[in-house]
Parts: sequence; C-alpha cells; structure tokens
Amino acid sequence: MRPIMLKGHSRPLTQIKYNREGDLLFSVGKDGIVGVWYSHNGERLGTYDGQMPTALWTVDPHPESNIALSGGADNEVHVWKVNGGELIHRFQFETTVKQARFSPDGKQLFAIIEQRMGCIGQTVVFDVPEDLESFSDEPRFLLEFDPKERAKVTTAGWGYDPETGIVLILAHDDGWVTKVDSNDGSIIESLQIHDKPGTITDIQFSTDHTYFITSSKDKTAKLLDVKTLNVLKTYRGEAGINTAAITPVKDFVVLGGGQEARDVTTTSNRQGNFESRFYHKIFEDPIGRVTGHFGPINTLAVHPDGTQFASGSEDGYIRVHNFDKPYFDFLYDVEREAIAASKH
Amino acid sequence: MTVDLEEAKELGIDFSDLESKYVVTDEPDLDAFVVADGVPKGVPAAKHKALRTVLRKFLSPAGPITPDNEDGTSGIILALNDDGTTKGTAFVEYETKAGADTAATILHKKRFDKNHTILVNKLSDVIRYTEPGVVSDTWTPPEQEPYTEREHLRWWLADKQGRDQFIMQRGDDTGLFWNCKADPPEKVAVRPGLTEQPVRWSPLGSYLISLHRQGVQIWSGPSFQPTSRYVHPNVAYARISPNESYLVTYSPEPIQLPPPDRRGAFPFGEQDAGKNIAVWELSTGALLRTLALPEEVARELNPEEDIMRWSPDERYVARLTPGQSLSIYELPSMGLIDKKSIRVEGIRDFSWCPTNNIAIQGRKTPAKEIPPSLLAYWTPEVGDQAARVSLMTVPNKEVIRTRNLVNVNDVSLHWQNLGRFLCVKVDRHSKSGKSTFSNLEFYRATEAGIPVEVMELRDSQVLKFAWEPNRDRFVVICADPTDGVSKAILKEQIAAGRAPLTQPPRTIVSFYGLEHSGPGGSVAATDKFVQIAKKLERRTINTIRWNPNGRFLVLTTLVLNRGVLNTTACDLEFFDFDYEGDRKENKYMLEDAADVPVNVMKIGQSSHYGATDIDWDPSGRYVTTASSFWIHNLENGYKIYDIRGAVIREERIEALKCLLWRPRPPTPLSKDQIKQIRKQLREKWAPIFDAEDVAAQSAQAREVMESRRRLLSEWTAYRANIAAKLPKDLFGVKESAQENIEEYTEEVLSEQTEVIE
Repeated sequence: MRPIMLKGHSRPLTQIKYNREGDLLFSVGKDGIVGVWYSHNGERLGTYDGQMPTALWTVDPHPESNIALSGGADNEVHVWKVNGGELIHRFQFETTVKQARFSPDGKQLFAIIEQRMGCIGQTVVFDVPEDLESFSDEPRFLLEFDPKERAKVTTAGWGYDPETGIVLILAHDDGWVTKVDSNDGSIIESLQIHDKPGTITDIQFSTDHTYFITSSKDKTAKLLDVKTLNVLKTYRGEAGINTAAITPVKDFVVLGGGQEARDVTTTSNRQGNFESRFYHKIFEDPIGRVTGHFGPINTLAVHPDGTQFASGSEDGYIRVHNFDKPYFDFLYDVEREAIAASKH
Repeated sequence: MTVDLEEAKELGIDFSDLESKYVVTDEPDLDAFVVADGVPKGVPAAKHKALRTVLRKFLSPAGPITPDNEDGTSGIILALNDDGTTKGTAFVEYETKAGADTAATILHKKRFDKNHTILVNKLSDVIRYTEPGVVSDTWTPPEQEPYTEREHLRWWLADKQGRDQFIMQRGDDTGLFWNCKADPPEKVAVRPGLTEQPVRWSPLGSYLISLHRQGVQIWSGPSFQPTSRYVHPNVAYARISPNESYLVTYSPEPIQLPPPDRRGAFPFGEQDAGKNIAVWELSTGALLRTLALPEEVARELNPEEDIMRWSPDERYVARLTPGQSLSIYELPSMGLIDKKSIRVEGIRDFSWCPTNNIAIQGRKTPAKEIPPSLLAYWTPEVGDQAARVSLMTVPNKEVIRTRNLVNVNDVSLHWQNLGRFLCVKVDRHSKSGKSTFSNLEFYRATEAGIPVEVMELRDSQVLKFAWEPNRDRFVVICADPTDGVSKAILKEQIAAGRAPLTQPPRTIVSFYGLEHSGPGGSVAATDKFVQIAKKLERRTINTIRWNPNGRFLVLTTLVLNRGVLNTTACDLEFFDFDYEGDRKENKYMLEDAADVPVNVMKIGQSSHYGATDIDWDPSGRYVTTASSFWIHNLENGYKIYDIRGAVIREERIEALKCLLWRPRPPTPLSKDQIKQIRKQLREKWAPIFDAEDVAAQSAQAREVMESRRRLLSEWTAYRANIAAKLPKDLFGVKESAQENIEEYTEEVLSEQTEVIE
C-alpha cells in the first residue's frame, strides 16, 4: 500500500473528512487552513481562507457536497461554498468550536462549544435551510450540562435509530455518552462506556448511522448500537487512541493514536505507536497496522466506498492509502464458510 | 477556713463520703514492692548483709531501691526461718512504683548465679492473685478448638500436567496463574488491591509474602488466601529462610509499643521496643527474637541484599556489622554463638557456603555428627595490613584458610552451588592506581589445605561472574577496555544533568571451564586450571542467567535503571554448553580450547524491547522476559521463550509490574529414578505427552472456531434486524446512490475529403 502524501498543512492536522461520494477529502489543522483534495490522486482542489489563521478543530462537507462547514479557535462556524469558497454564513459563539457536523439527511447541523473562561460548554443545533443559503442564527435548541453533574461534551455525531429517526450522540470528557432527540433536544439516555478518566476523543458512524465507534484515552475503542447504546465490541490499543473509524465493505475498524506529543521526547518513533491499527470488527482481533507517521495520528477517515483511508497526524501530513487486493481478499475461515453457505 | 467538726455534726452534715475518699492509711505503698523468689536458701544471719548487697546490685538496674536499715525492715527484706537462715524469698522496696514495674518485666527469670534464677513478681500482684476467688482452685480443662484442616502448602506440585505457576502484578492486581505455554495463562486467583509493593516467593515456593503498613501477610494454598499475618509496623523487608522454617522481617522504624491497654494482639513486649529486626518461626507464628540494627548499618542497607543470611541447614543465621563484626545466632534459641559477636576488624562482606555436605579440609564429617557450616568473609586493606579473604567454620569459629591480597579495590565472593569451589573476584588497581583489572581466585574448598588457583585478567575488569549450577563452568562479563567513546559521552551527559540515553556500556563475555572437570570428577592441579572456551566481543550484555539445571545459558541486556532506556540493545542470546555435535568439529569455540570441558554452541537468538527482568522457569524449560512498569512505562508486557529462544507467547499488559515464577522444592526422586525416567523418556513418556498436546491443541482450535462462528452469526443477525427496519430512502438517498457514468468520447484524428467523381 503505497500512500499518497498530502502536504498542505504546516501544523498538526485536527480533522479530515470524505464527502458522501468520497471523491473529495476535506482537512483542517492547527494552522487555520481548510484544504480540499481530490481523493483519487491527492491533487489539491483548493483551500478555504475565510477563517482567521487560528487553530481549526472541525470540518464537515454537507451530504450534497455543495457547501461545507469549518470551525475552530476563532469561535466561529463558517459555512462556505465548496465550489469557489464563497462565505455563506458565520455562526458566532463565546468560545472555541470543537466539533460541528451536518446531519446525514443534511437538514441540521450541530456545534460543540468548548467550556472555557467561565462559559459552560454548549451543544447548539441549527436547522439547515432548503436552499442551503439563508441560514438563521436562531438555534433549534441549545444544551448545557452542569459541570458538577456531567463532564463537558468533547465531540458528538448524528446517529440513526430505526424507530425514532435521527438522534444526536454526545460524547463526554469522563467517558459517558448521551443520546439526544434531534427535534427538541431532550435527553433520551446517558451511559458510561469508558472508564474514568476516559476522555472520548472521536466518534464515527457506520454508513447507515445505526452503530458507531468511540475512541478514548483509556486505550480502548468501543462499538455501540445507536438504538440501545449497548457496547457491541471493544478494541484494545496500546497507547491513547485519538480517532477511530469503521470501514465499509470489509468488517474492520481502524484505530489511530500514539503516545501524546508532550510525552514523546528524544526516543525513536518505534515507541510512539504512531500507527493506524486495523482490528476485525466482529472478532475484535488486531489484524494489521499501517505505519509511516512520525507523530500521533489525530484523525482518520475511511472512504465511503471502503476503497481507501486517510490519516492526519500531529506531524502535519495526511497519508492517503488505497487498499490493495490482499486487503479485500482477507477473510477468516468462518467468514469464508458463511459466504459459501449463503451461496448455496 | 476551718470547720468545727463538732459543730458540723450538730448541724447534721454528713462527711462520711469525704472521709472514705480521703482516708489515710498507715500501710506502705505496696505498688513499690516486689517479691523476689529463688534467692539462696539457708544463708546464716552473719552473711545476710553480704547477700543484701549482692541482691541490691542485681536488682538496682530496674530503679533505685530504698536504703536498708539495721533491723532489716526496709530496702531489701529477707524472709527468715525461725533459726535465722533465709527462706529463699526477699521483699524489695523500690523508691517508685515504676521501679517495681520495670523489675517485674526485665529481671523476672534472670539468672542470679550458677544455681539460682530469681523470679520477680510485684507484691500487689501476689496479694491480688492469692486472694480467695480471684484464681479458681479447681482446674478446668481449656476448651479444645475444633480441628480445621489447612490447605496443602505444596498443592501446585500435584498438577496433572506438571505445569509451573507464576505471580503477575499488573496495575493494582496481583494474580496467580498457571503457565500454559502459548495459550493465555490460566488464572488460579486474582486479588485486586493486594499490595502496591513487590511480592516475593519463599525459597521453596510454599508461601508468597506481601508487605503492608501493619506487617507481613503470608499467602498459601490453592485458595490463595492470607494464611498468617505477622505484625511489624512499616515493614520494609521480609524473607523466609532456605527451608522455610523461619521468617525475618525488618522495618526502618524502631518498634514502638502502643499504650498497654491497646496492645491486644501486638506481639512485641517491653524488651522489643526500639528494635528493627524480628525473627519468627513460621510453623507456630511465634516471635523468636527481636534485634536492633545499628543506625549506620541501616543507612547503608541494600534492599536487594539479605539482612540476615542463613546457613544452608538453617541452624545459624548471621548478620554483618560492616567494618566491625559478624553476629551469628543459633536457631531456634536465637542466641549468639558463645554469647558474643565475632569481632573482625574491617569486615566488609561474607557468604555462607551453600551446602553443608562437603568435606572440609578434605575430611568428610562422619554421618553421626552434624556437619559444620562454612563461611567466607573478607577484610580490606588497612594501613600496612593486606586485604584478606578467610574461610571459617561455624560453630567452632575456626579460621581454616586465609589469603592476603594487595592493591584491592573490591572483592566479591561467589560459591559454586555444590560448595566445591569458591570464586573470589578481586577488583584490583595497578600500583600507580591508574588502571583497574580483576583477578579470579578459585578456592578448592573440599580439598586438604584448600589450594587456590589464580586467574589474572590483565587489562579488564570483571563486572559479573556466574557459576553454572551443579557444574564447574562459568561465565564472566568484562568491561570492554576499548569502550572509551561511549564512556566519555556518558560522563558528559551525567555532568549535564541528563539521564544517559546512550547505549549501555560495551562488554565482553567469556565462557570458561575448569580443566578435566566432569560432573563429579576431580580437578587436576595444573597451571592450565582455568581455560577459556569462547569469547563474545562487542556486546552490551549485562545479565547472565543459567538454566536452573545447568547446561543452557541465556545472556541479555536488561534495562536496569529507571529513566535509562537503551533503544537498540535488547537482544537475547541462547547457548548450549553440552552441544551434541562433535566437539572437534565445533568451529564456534576458540581454536585452542580443545581441553576445556565445554562444547558450546549458540542455539538461538531473540529480542525483547525494553526488557527489565529475565528468568528461567523452575523446571528450566522456558525463559521469560518482562518489561516492568516499575522501571518504565513503554510497551509493558512479557514474553515466553523455549530453550532455543523461540518466542512461544508474548503479551502486552498495561502497567505490568512483575512476573515471578513460583520456585519448586528439590525433587524427591533419587538419582537412579531420574536416570530411569530419562532412559524411558523417548519410548514411554514422549508419545503420551505428544498425544496430550495434540488433543489440547485441536480442542482449543475448535473452541476458537466455535466462538468466532457464534460471534459472526450474532453480528449477522443484529445487522439483518436493523436493516429490515431501515427505510428505502434513508437520509433522502435513493437506493442506487452509486451512478455509473459512462462517457464515450470520439476523437477525430484527421479528416480527409475526397471527391469521388
């Protein structure tokens, strides 16, 4: 697997995302640049320079790929046109925007506002207008958690409950997850899934958004069902895990992380575990690793067709890996058996 | 104000309560008296004065005694018969109650002279207990405690598969496991939060010792429960004697007695206050003796070394006071031999010969007698006096051999485990003091006159020395004299206050044999006594581990210090000293090593990044390396290798602290029985074991397959259930989101117009 190196950020990457078709890859980093790349060859489509040159934490293309959002330490979420980079709307907040995502149906977006300087962390949900242009600053709902009762929200994502529809899944700093009704913001359920202080670092969903994977500083990643919030699987890593993704097509998951930047001193990169580790989604076994970065991996994304994955690291590089044939051919004996049985 | 009592009475005021409270009696304060029994009987009146003087001297250490008066009714009062001779009892009045209390504790049962032992009791106690009703006159037998069967201490030896156990400390858990080769270790028991300190096995594996703030806990039996506890506040050290009869505990904090009313189960009494070391008997749990450790000794204490060292038969235990003396105590009385320590000016270190069963000075002890123990010690150069290594027998304290040494920096004593040889490693310096080098001196302890053979290593210093168990071959690690560069860097880094991150120092490893020595053969005294078989150069090896049965050897570079992490040197090298190939053809050995009783071959190699510990299992079939959280927190875990260095199992365990094999007691089989088993191994036993292995493996493979099959079908069912509930146009996307766009392009390369007429 020869990777394509995307060199466009001068500082650590914070998030990378494919659009729904997977032809474009969006990236943000601490250098304040939003990059958009063609995923098949790594050519850069362009950068979006509207935001202040402060650290950006989040980027997300709309399912239609017409518009995208980005947010970061300038306390704003910008919505801009992918084609041309024209700024459509600015949501302004009190503090840093840690995470913002469009809902899978493209009708809503949320923003997680960091708890800082006497401001309680907030989760704000807005409606996305049909024309994708006339945004309103009036949120649909706003959630605040009393810091005495529940640790701040670190990241979040949109899930799909086959019975109630789209829900918001919030991940907390103390290893809890909260399921929230996407219409009115009412809390449906809260559960602890990672051991304290198991800061949840990332949350990514299956293609149909009915189950998701959480990665945590407690060195595990867990697969959860949206409807029941049951932990389906647990994957154990070696260092803290910063990001985790589910691969479509193959029943795998990918975990990325490594020793924290501040702990990496003069030692060789072997000790840092700066690698993307593949686990079998169902059997929880580690099955492979992809090395190459020389800093912790902060963000991972898998192509929606399951044909490639990209990793963004503290070292400032994005590495795009196209899966080759052995990857697709790899099967456990029992999987082969099951396939053979279903053909008969 | 004065009160007229008469007036008060008239007024009808009742003073009786006050009167009874403040009543003054003429009786003397009985609390200051003691009764001394066992005083010489029948002493005539003429000698009373002398007796009183001697008694006064004997009893005063407890406190001042009131002066005697002429008629003998004060101070020491002798009980007399009608004829004026003594009855054998004296009443003694101390000036204070405290004096009497002390006398009853420290002077009770003390020897007065050859024939008399004085029993000292407080008079008030005597009065109290002789009063009718306090002590019942009829004896009622104590209720017999019901017999509860204790768990077998050596239960683990009865394992059907003959597996070994180990203790693993990880995070807050302490767990006991069976080694299952390649498979995950089988749990016997895990005790979360048992201790954060290192645990330790007893020498034969029957007990596990854990240290706690209040004292020591001893764990044993299949249920892995604490079977006994020994109170010793802030205990820092606990070791069990070689045959597991005794326990020694040490606490840097001198024993302090709690107030008398709260002593309860506190095992120590007045005489133990201020002491640091306690010696206990394991079978009864009884405290045998407490000992003080001089503060200057305590300060220099190496926690890895034994504070009290046992003779191999456990008849004696010795403690060193560096520079001064050696104290040897006899068991089980725990009294000093001849009631005094052996004064050895300058003594630095000593070592017991590991077996009693040797001929001393060529003379074997007759079967009826108890063989004496042998120990070696050394003293450094002081002024004109040379350094000296001496061998002494115990208990008669006879020095049977001494040898003088000059230009000595340091000496270490290495007994071969059969006690046939003592190797003295002498680190010396040249006369100018500029260069340092080592001598190895071999004392042939079992021969008459104890001949010594000296091997000089001219230009290098021996860092480590290790005898092969049961044989007379050995391995030596020397500093590489050409390793000047890294030393300079190291020095620079230390000077700059940084932890040295460079390679560990370069070393040379050499294998030696004693000439013409077989297992049991005698050694000829020739000038080629010690012969080299192999030299490994350009290594960084710092650890030697012989197989517990000898023959096999593993060498490695361990991470020994916190914060010093070498990044590349983590190789393990495995050797066989009795390689089965033809020795003459063995190109691996040095060319002129033909006479050496060594046929060494490197049989394997492996590596464990960041390993901090290495050990053979007690059967000598496996080697384990561990990377401990106590030293560093990178890639903590363990690896198990076979005898050829192939990794059988490896596991990374978060915060693994240690992996300790449970020692085994020596085999009860006779030599002939072992021989018999060896002979039949291939034909009789191997097929059985192989069949068992195959069966276990296939059973396990089946199990894994089954569990995977189950997981897969569960997952498939889960997904099918969800998929059935999903709408066709989830998130507004039509079924076929994937469009195949095919474009046909036609390119006209050239166009020609031809007019056809």
